[in-house]
Amino acid sequence: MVVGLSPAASAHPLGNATVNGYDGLHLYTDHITDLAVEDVSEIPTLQRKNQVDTDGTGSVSDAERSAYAAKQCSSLAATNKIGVNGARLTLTVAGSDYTERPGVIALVVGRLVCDLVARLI
Amino acid sequence: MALGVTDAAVRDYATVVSEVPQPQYLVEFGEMLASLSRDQEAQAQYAVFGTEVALFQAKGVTLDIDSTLFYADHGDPAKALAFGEAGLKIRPLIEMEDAYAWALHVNGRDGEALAHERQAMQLGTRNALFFFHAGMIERALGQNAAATASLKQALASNPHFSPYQEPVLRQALTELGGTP
Repeated sequence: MVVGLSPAASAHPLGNATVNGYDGLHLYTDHITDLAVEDVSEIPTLQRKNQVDTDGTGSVSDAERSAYAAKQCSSLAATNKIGVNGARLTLTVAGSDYTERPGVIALVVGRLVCDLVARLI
Repeated sequence: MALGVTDAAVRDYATVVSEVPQPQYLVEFGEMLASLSRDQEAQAQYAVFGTEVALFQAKGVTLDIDSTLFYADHGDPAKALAFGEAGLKIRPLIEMEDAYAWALHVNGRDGEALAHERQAMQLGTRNALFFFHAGMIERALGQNAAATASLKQALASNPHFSPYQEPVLRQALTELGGTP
């Protein structure tokens, strides 16, 4: 799923209370990669604020974003289920990133991007 | 929650608001947390509710019942009245009559409040919140016998209608001399 947003877009295209997930799987001979993206609209981003802004200053530092990304991606790696021939593979986190950008009425929306990998052999 | 199983109720409500952050659920959860003296967490829920009010308004939608009750119960009588008046014009449901009655009550207009509460109850609905509101309005008007009867009816129809209001109801009933 690719959503193109013009800089002037004023509404989250999928609604202000949605959490939207994308998993892009690439299959290789010896491993599978899962580009897992979580797009979090205004209300759930607000609801998760304390999980991101852990020191409660009201603003999110780069360190907080990194920490949150790592934590969330670990969680996704644990809950995403990828299996081959019925056997479940273990996903690990190769990379994680979390950014926020303006949404409507001075709220923000969040985007979590996780590079997950499962080795086949 | 009605069975008094608190930890499970908090967990369940947390799941509800994360999956379906409807205004009513945010307020219910916040008020439940407040009744457990978890005030900071309650405020967090109220903050999301307030954001939703603003978000809806930015889209040209005015929340009516939820916002009237919320601002009446959480310290903004003027806002409660404004939302109540506007809401009643657009959607004169019995829940809206009840909410408007409550807004009038917190603004000290108990005569009018009682009239609207009667409107809310005209279908004979056994709604504990309506009975609670009626009882508190009657008490404010000095109609003590009626107030006692209404507050007891609230408890009879649903003793756990609101963890937030239940202590208020029981205190009022005690002060009226009725056995809660």
